[in-house]
Amino acid sequence: MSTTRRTQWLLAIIVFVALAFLPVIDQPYWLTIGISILMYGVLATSWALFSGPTHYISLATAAFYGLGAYVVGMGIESVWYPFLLVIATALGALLALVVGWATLRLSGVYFVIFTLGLAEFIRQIITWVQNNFTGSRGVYVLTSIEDKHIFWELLVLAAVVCLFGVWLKQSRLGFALRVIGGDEVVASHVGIHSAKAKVLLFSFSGAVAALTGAILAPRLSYIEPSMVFSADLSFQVVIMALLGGVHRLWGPIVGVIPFTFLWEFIAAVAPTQTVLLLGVAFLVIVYFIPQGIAGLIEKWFLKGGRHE
Amino acid sequence: MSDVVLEVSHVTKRFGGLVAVDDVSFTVKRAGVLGLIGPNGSGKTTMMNLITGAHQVTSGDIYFDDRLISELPSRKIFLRGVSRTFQLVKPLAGLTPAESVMAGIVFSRKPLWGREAVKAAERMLARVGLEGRGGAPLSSLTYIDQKRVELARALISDPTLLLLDEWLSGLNATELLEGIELIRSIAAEGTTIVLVEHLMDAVRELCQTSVVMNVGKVIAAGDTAAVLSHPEVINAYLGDTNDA
Repeated sequence: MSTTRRTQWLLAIIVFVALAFLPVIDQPYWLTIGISILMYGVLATSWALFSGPTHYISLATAAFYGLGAYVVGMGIESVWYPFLLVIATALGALLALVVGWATLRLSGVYFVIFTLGLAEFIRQIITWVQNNFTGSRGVYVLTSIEDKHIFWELLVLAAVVCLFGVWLKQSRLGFALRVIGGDEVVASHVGIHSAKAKVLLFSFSGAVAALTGAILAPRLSYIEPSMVFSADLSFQVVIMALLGGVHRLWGPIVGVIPFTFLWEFIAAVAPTQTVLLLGVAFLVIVYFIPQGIAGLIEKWFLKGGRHE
Repeated sequence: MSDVVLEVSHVTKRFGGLVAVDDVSFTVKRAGVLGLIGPNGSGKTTMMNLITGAHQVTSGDIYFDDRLISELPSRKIFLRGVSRTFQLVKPLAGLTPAESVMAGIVFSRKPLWGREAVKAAERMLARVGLEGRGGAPLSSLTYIDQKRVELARALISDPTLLLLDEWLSGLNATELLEGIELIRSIAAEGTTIVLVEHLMDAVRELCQTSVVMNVGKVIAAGDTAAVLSHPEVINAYLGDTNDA
């Protein structure tokens, strides 16, 4: 048991170090793909840490991501970049805290609708502010930060999210979330503060999404509300996480990798049909592989071998 | 420590126009088994939900160990020492039976975690007759076994007051005898029990005192044998002869 555990850690460290050398080989295509995979990987994994055990489907990823990107867009001229990352993370957590506290007491459906509306709401506010006070709709993000720096930042963030996931799995908080996912009435009858547990995790995923937006902002060069608050992003994250499987920490990344390649392909051959194909992909996943690829892998390779 | 564990005082619960519990008062003495009985729809389960904070009272007060609990959320009432099972079993999907039982102790007033919590859960499973079944897939458990898991979950925190909502119903004859013995042994250890039950034989066997509800009201209370022969109670169960 402890030797397999050690092997897993060793493998994770090797993968991490190997990936860190990706920018060095100087292949722009692979660096671009690498950034996409890490970005979606981080977003989908942190999304699944909250939504996997609790079954609360959040469509707010774009709200946090856009918030983070805008913090950088607004502040890049006057504030030191690393400090902007801290501000974006803190604001993401704070927004999730407020929204979570107000909505997580509601039952599932209301939560889904509210989170979907949140990104649109923030987008409208920023558009309104910019139309009325700043004169221009978008902001330019001009920095000396290159793609390889963004890749490394995302890689570190991915490692942090994974370490948090590993910790969560064997923590009381993680156990509380599983009980909440099982039955919320039971949870409250065995001493679990379910609102607190849910808000904590929701804040974590909100902070991570905001930080991801802040890290990627320099890559966009020009930020506009309709770009960074796009609902497509929220749906993509949900679809990728479900495709991979949300009941395992490594599940979402298994969904992100094929989906990113598929997405590149779709964007190249049918750039106007992306939303339609996104919807079809969603239906196919929910209908044919509800447990995700992780579930399929476990079913095929570990058949019958895991009865304790 | 006073002699009374639970005091329900003039409690009313309305759901819109429906009065599910109507000005109900009764007390539960320490270390006994009290039967809460009555026909379907008489408000017994609602009363249980009010005690554990699953519902909030419309008016009236509930005291546990001489402290007001009717304003508290379920979580805090549990932390004071009130545990329950549910009339409709609530299995926790995605958790093993051992983990389901563990859920009852991890966040309790005497919390355990890790190996100790697992051991306590296994001991409790053995006590309810599921020895060695802690890792079995949830789907392999029968309805009765799920009820056992739920009792173990309620019991593992060593509650002062245990509320059993029709826990014995659905058991076959042998299981019923085992179940009655089990509840008796829990009571013998000093846990106070409120038993909501339709099985009159079990109520007669286990409960020194009983409270009978009908259409939201208490119609009789006191010594079980006397209560069960009360004319109004017989009417409530068999129908008023004048109505027929």
